[in-house]
Amino acid sequence: MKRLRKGIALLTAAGMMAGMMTGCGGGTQTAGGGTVSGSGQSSGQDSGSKGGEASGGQVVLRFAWWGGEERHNATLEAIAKYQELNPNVTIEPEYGGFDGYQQKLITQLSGNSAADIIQIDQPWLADINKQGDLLMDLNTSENIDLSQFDETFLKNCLEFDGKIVGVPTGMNTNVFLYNRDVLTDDRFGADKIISWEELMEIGTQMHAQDPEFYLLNVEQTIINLMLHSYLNQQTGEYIFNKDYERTFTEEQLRDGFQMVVDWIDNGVIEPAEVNGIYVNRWYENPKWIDGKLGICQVWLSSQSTATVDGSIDVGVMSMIREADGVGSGVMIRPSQVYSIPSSTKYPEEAVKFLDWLVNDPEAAAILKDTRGVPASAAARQVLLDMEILSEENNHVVESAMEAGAMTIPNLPTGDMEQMWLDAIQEVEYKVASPEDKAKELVADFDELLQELKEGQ
Amino acid sequence: MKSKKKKAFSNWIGLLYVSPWLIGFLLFTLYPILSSVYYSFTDFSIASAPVWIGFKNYVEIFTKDKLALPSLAITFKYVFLSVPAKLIFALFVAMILNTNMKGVNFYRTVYYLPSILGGSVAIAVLWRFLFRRDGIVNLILQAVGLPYLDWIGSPKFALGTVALLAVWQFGSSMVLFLSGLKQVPQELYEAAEVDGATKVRQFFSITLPMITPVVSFNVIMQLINGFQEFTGPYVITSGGPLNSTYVFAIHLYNSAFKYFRTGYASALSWILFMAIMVFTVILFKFFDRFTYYEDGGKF
Repeated sequence: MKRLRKGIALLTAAGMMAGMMTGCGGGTQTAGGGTVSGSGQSSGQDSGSKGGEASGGQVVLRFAWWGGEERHNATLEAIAKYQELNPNVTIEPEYGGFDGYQQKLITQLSGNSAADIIQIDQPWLADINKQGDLLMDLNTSENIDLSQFDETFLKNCLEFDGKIVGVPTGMNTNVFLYNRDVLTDDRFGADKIISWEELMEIGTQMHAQDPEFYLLNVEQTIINLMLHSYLNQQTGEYIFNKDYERTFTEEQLRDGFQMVVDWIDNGVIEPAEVNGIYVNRWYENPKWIDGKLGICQVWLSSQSTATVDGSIDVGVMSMIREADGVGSGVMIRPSQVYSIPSSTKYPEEAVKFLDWLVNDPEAAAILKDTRGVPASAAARQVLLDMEILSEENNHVVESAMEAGAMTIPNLPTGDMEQMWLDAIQEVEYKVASPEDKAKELVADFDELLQELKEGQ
Repeated sequence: MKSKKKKAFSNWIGLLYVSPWLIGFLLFTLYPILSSVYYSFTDFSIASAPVWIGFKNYVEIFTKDKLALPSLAITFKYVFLSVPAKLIFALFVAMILNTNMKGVNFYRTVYYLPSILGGSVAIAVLWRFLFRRDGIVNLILQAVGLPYLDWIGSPKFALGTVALLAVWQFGSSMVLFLSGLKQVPQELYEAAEVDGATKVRQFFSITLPMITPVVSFNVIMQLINGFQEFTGPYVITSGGPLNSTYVFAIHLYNSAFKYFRTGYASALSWILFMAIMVFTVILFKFFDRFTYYEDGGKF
């Protein structure tokens, strides 16, 4: 009897431990996708700030953003400066990492409890806009100078149903970067244009000389970006247009897929089994750090990621393109967007702060390039004068705008990206031939576009 | 009369004592569970109000969704790879640690550590470091003259490599086995020894039958956990390559938090619940016939 009781006790204790373990497991899960905090000052202030205007017309605004240490510090400094200039305004920061930010934001927006100024990612806007007037139309306010922004850029990226729902925090464009210590010959440079064929030739030749070397550091998501550029150069449009119509032909897609297969066969890129480990983290590939990979494609704002904390000396290259291409293959989009939820109690105060944040020289000098190359011309000039923005990067952005960047329609895309990534993987892993996969993807893509169109 | 009143009162006191847990359970467990039943019949997305659509979500899962059933199949594969391997390994280590060797407590702690580390991002980095083409595991393989494998990069091996992470986290099962092993009466072994039974024979005729309650508990718990596995495949491979580690929980997560189809994700979670339920019932019936309880199993 005694032994039995002891046995039960032990089992229960062990069971509790097991319960704790599952509890722990659940915890990690939410940490992966759930919480935003982690940097102290976020959330928890929601209740306090609501009725915060009590003392003598004091206005309390909440400002939410995600980012890294550098961005946090710069933004906090900017807030302090604004409060100094406007003693009647208190700004409460709510910041943290990117993980879970979107989920939290969408939940808050639907519950009318979002901050008064929010940082948001441009691709989310189409879906948010579909849910109703959740974001304020900045056209309706006198207090912000929208003329500092390129008009077409603003219209293409941020106009929904005739409303301007935000302003870009910065500008981002897809650029090729090359390792200056490895690719030393004069075919590479900011003003040199390389065609897809030349790229193949150079890559093949270099791999033949050194079997350990691969010219391009890519994985499926980068290949996807490159395919979009490749197709844009032939059609002059994004992969679909404003009417949800496919813009490319099956043959064009097949040629694109064939190019990927040739890259693998010629040793221009690593086989899928190797690069597949580094999806979304190609800069962790030891070969990139060892100089055994020559070129990568990134969003300009991630340039510092590509240098692996400054240990690799990278130079900017022009977009790879044929001389007779129709489109430039260059994408241009806001790094992020600042929006003001319609639920805010102080729309004009929020707009005033926003205007200061994006247009004021003093703010620009504090924020520097922590949100990419500033989209406001006034801010860009300040950074050029301060020599924070390199001539090279400014040139990349300005030439991207001139080149007639490809316009991505402001429409919900459902699981379009995943569909393309899956197709690219099948081609890369050679489980489907370029011909078959092009045919299949075109059919699936048309079906998805049809569904999205009907869902409008 | 008075004592009845007193008893009723003490019942209320009892309830009062457990009320923090009760309130927590009702609000944060039961209410979400019940609402997810309702949501699974709606087209609820996080930002818009739910609209009743009947069985449409469930029909979509079985007829239109190209990933739902394959991901369920992958989950089954994952469970059948990881659970037996993990339990056998845990039992093996528990038996070693059940001896009177020096510093046994230290080893027990050390072997438990991986379970605490869990599926953190650091572990994902470690796994890539170990299992990439020029990683340590392949270096060892090549050193003994074996060919290298693309452990994570190849669709053929990725699921196994991810399952290995689960096996590595054998700590909690090991602790349970250890407590079970401690309960086996030493006399049985002595008697067997006298009768000339080998160690192997002792294991299958004494140890294993005596610890069947722990075995069944472990199998059922690990199976339930295995079906819900998310962190490992998510942080190491994000479901790739070629969707070979795209387990059901990732599909569920993507539906809810990538595509914001909360209603659909609720339906998916109920499908998963059903699958787990069926398996658990089958296992309960199965173990009912084998499990040995000292008190006849009525406690």
